[in-house]
Amino acid sequence: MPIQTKESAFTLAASLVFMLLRVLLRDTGNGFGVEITLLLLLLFIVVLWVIRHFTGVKLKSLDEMDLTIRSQAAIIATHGFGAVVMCYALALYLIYRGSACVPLPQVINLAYFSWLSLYAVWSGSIMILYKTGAWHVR
Amino acid sequence: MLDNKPGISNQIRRCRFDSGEMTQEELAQKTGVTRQTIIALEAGKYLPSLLLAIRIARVFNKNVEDIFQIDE
Repeated sequence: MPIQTKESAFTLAASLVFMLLRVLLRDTGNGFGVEITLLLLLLFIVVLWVIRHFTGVKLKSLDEMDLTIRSQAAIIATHGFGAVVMCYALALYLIYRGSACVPLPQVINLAYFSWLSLYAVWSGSIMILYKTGAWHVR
Repeated sequence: MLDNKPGISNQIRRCRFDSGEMTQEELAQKTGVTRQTIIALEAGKYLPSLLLAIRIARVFNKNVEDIFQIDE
């Protein structure tokens, strides 16, 4: 298994777990919703660093196919990120258009889920591109 | 245009066997890539850069076009 695939599998799992954690730890009226989200975001960054450290992925050690797949996956992930931001923002608009004011925790949630989805799509795309082969530009 | 089919076939596998049954790992080491990349090249899943194509050709003492052919 390529070292990058291993990193991607762990990153994908971490992204999904952190999304699930945020849903499970939703604000139950104690007013700590934003703090929980920010804390999870910080933990996610630490987890990403730990994954990268223990899988031993270094850009210098990747060859041209690895780097091609990595950058193509990043392009796909950017589109996924944009799609999540757009859908989430549209949902917020439809929900809060009556009050013309979106609550701050929802804005933080938008940032949280869109950022995690970036990593989820990126790592998932890497795994798929190793199976299908990188795209070729002609 | 983007697609997953390179449109270029190669003779890497045949060249390896013609060169004393060179392993994929040996070719990978000589060209500075991983074995996974050689596997992908032989399976037609990856189109190499010009640099890698030249390195592969040099390993087998051949021209690039002797190893890589455009699918007409």
